[in-house]
Amino acid sequence: MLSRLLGEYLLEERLVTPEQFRRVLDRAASAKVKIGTLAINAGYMAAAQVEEVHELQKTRDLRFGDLAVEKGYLTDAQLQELLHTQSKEDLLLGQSLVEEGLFSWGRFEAILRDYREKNAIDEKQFEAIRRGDVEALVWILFRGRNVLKQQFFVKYISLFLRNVIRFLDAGASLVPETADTYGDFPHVTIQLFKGKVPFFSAVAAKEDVFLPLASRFAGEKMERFDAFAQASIAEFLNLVNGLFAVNCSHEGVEMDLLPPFTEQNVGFGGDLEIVRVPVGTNAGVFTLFVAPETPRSLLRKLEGGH
Amino acid sequence: MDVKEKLTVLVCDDSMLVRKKLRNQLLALAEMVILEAEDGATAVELYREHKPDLVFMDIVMPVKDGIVALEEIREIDPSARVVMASSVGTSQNLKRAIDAGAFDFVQKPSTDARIANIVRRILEEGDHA
Repeated sequence: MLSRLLGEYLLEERLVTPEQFRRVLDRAASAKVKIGTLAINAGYMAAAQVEEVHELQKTRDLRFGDLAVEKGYLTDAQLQELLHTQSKEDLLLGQSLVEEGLFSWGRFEAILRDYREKNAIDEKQFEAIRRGDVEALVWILFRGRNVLKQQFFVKYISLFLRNVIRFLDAGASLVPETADTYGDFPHVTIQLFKGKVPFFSAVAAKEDVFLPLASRFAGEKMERFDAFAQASIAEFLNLVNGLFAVNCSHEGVEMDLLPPFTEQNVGFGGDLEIVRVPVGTNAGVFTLFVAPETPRSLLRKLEGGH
Repeated sequence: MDVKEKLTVLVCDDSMLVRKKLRNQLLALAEMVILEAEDGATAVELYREHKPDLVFMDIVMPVKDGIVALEEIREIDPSARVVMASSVGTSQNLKRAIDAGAFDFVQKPSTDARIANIVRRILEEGDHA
């Protein structure tokens, strides 16, 4: 979950170009977190020690963890703990930045520190993000933004992400917005909430991103993004929205849903009311859009086309 | 010994994905005749024509929502067994479903075990024919 926060920071500070960042995300999507990355993350090893062990590995045919223990940088217990968390940790971004040759580990460590200072993210919040606490991350992302019904959106986006992780891709995370988010999308699935709290939700992507996700949700291989695949994406959105309505109902807010529908070649331009949430998965990036009401640009298209 | 007639089940959901999944879940349990509808209005017509032993009914659907369809089916047949299967199990919907005489409520995504349990209850009641 760090990738969205840090990614935005890296792009804003022009520490990486969008093109470099795309390559880093691709690499991160297919990589596994290395023990050295985890050791820095856990505070067991300094960046310089990790680099020293990497150097040693060039001349000695030993695994990183074994060398680090031999050098006294890690205890056996620490290594076991790191091996255990290796498959879960979400620090692929840092690792991928280093592997792309953009930064050294030392530089990455400094960037991480600067980022936390500039954004006033305390230790507790940072740990929550590292643990994959989606709600903590979403709060930080939308902090200070003039977003209506902010708390409402935070809960919705958190629930949405948890279900992406549950049903579509266990390694999914929020990624930075790019210019693509403001253009038209080939496929957009929309569902509206009505009642006391009207609310607009949509997911949008290209076919090659939606197709593998639709296959996963349906539990069967699909070859084309046909009506059945579209139904799978629509049902995923419907499922999340249904759960959200149930949660709201438990808190005394009754909401109704309208059936989901899919539109082709729709975008939301620069509409300020819309919250854009790009989600990185191993199939590629898709975007969740949420807004207090149906965007005017979409209404015009719907009125004109139907 | 008499051979029991096959169960007839009507599956009503606007999502073709959900209809297919539910169909597969049901056919894995027993041989049965499955009818499909993609909105509440079609479901009411199919019910009137075929009098199925069991109905699985979504709530949020175009044309006619599932709870209105449930009410109309119960008017046609007060003993109709209609299971509401929806992702929107809000207290409001649960209350409406109970008031309208729903047989059960399944929160989506429906598990094989939950569907099997409902079908078993119908089979045990044994008055389908």
